[in-house]
Amino acid sequence: MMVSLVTETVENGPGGELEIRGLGHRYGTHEILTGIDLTVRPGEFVSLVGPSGVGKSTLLRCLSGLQRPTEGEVRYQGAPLTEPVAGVAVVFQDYSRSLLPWSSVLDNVALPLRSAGKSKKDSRARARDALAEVGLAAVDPQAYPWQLSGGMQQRVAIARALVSGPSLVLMDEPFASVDAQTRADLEDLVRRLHGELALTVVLVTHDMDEAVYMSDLVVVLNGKPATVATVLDVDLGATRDQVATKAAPRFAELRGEIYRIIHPAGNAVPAPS
Amino acid sequence: MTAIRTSLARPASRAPRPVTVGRPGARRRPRRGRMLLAQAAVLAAAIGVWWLISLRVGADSVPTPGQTFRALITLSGQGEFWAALLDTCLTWAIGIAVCALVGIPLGLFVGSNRFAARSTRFVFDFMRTIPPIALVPLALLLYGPTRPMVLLLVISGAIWPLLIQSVYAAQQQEALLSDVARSFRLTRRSRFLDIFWPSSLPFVMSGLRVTGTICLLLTVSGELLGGAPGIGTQIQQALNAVDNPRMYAAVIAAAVLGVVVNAVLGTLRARVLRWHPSVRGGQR
Amino acid sequence: MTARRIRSVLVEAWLPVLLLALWWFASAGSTDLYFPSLSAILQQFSQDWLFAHVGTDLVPSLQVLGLGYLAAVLAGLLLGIALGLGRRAERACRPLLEFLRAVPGVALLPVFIVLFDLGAEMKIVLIATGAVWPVLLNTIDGVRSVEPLLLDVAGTFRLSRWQRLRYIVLPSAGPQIFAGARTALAIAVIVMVVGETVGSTGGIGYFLLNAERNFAITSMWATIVALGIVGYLLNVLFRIVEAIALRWHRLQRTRLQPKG
Repeated sequence: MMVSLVTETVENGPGGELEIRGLGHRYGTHEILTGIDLTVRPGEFVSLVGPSGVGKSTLLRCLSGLQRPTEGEVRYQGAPLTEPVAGVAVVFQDYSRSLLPWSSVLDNVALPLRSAGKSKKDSRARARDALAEVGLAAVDPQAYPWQLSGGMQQRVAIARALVSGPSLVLMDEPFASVDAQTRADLEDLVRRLHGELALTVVLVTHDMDEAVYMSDLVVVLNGKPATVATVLDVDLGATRDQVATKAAPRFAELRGEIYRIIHPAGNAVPAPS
Repeated sequence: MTAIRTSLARPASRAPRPVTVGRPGARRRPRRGRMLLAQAAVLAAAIGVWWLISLRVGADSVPTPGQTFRALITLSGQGEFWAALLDTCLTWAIGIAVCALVGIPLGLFVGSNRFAARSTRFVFDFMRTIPPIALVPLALLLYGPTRPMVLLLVISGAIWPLLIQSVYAAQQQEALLSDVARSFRLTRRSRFLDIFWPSSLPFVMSGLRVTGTICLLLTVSGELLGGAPGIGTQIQQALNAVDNPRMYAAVIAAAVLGVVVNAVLGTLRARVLRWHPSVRGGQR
Repeated sequence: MTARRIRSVLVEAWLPVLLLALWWFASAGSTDLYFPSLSAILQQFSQDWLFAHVGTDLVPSLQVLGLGYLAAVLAGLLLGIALGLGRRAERACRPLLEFLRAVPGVALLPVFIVLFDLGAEMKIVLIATGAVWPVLLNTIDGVRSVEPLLLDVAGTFRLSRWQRLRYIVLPSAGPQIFAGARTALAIAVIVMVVGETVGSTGGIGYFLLNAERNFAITSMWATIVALGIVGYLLNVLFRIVEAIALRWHRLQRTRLQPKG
């Protein structure tokens, strides 16, 4: 099935480029993040890992434009990003509450297009394509989201993120609320979409295995206030497989490295590498 | 512009589970026949108790079910009776329409603005606790025994639940959906129609239900105490004529009207809120 | 901290104060028969209700109200629990309950006068009959919507039926029950006034109607003000009781800070 999802936003080439310079954020007097510097190249798959509560979601909110960091800045394709922009899409963790329960699956996916002024017919046609992309072609498009399983709901949320042809997709612990088997399916789905649609992806997760499996680059956040503890190049090849990749010795090495950074022997915060 | 294509083959993962979409809220029917029998038995028992009371106290004080039924038949043959019922319905309809047209937009507006919500909190709280009945004498003096008198009573008394629930509805918006709206850069129009309004509906509908019930109660009260045309006056007239069976029959007619109103409001709620957990019940 | 407090009070108070001031100045020196000036109303109010007629009219009314309301709450609770726990019984009774609750309370006044004669008992029964429905229906609802998981927990601890009721069902249904009780209070006040419209010789409702009949308009307005205040104070009292009884519920509903 040939599906055409046309991007509207991109200047040149696939994917977008993300630059984070000296980002810090505080709530009141409480400093959460500090001194975060990172460059994400077009088409890269980056994971942000760290212990629970370290500030990963706050960082993602700054990257999406939902929040302005109190220090530093975020640049997307060269321009400063201070509010949500075209070309950047977000997939939230809580699919049951981020999908509209009063709209059908199809209308949920079509929402961004309808709001941008596309006709109902066009939006729905594109939404159908997006649903096919994420493997939900056989699902009744008139069904309500809550009639689907958790994994399927998250696929709907991903379809919604893809429908307007973004170049950068931000995902906030998207697989935290699904069971392990579904998680494996969704991981492979996202990897495939990343490859086929030439997306740039930033994935926030607390799951170290997932971070290594999915990404080209793993950014480890740690500390109070949190900062980039280390950035790991994942040299596991472009094709990943749930069994083969995870059995590879290099996988275990990378994973072990992350673990040791997050849980060092002493209490000292390791210096950023 | 980049054209994107998918591979021809479906991903190797398991095919999605086929989704059967039943009517939201549909359940397996229990032994329907036996339940209907039980319900009929309860009603019969209630009528039986009524009959016993009538025997004990005397048919002069409490007419028997039979007498009342006959009076009901007689009433239903009189044009005046149906005119009165229609009057009550019309007054109720106008009352609830005004309450909705004023209360819902006002409440939603006030609720979306923190300063407005806090400023009006005391006033709304206070006004809602004034027993509407207190205004009957004033309304009578101003308008006499007419429909406007009843409407003054109904609207001033019944609007508060709907108003307050609408304020609450605007305040109870899901925070995550606000993030969704912003991250997908939804237009203001879309934010209102696709998110704000549908998520306000559960609260608005439950407020509407309460207000609708109070509207009817105040309509009949206004008619009964004030003498405006309607079923309440029928009750009053029967009382004055010391015609107990007719009075009971009129009361029953008013109750049936109440049941109908409740059913209408309930059905409206179920239709509008097809998707809401409280209505969809059996599904996941 | 206190500056914040003062601001908070001001935000909530400015509108009521402004409205009162508007009423005062708009009606000052009024000669309208139906809309006397606010100052005249307040004067009459202090004459009538501070505290001349409180003992003779207000207190008996409140007594009748209290007894009727208590009866309504008790009956509603007991019946509501019984029906809430017994699914089939509740479904069987549903048509009858739907019908009975739709009888406009006011319409029962003539019925009850004939049954009970004029007097305090009649009013108490009338109030109870009118006010029981919100409590009953909300109790049934609350009892039926206890989190099934909690009932499983009760099962694993082998709680007796009474224990289950006391420690799980009733607290869980608490918020619903209180919501019903609050509506019942509003209804009880209305029915109390209605009950005094026919053949009464005392009570705040009677006083109101009497004022109207005798064209003592200012007195009528003063009584409306009094009724408004009584209604408001009863609600405040109710809220205090509710806050104490449902302390856990209020705390649970406080939003927690989102995790970083």
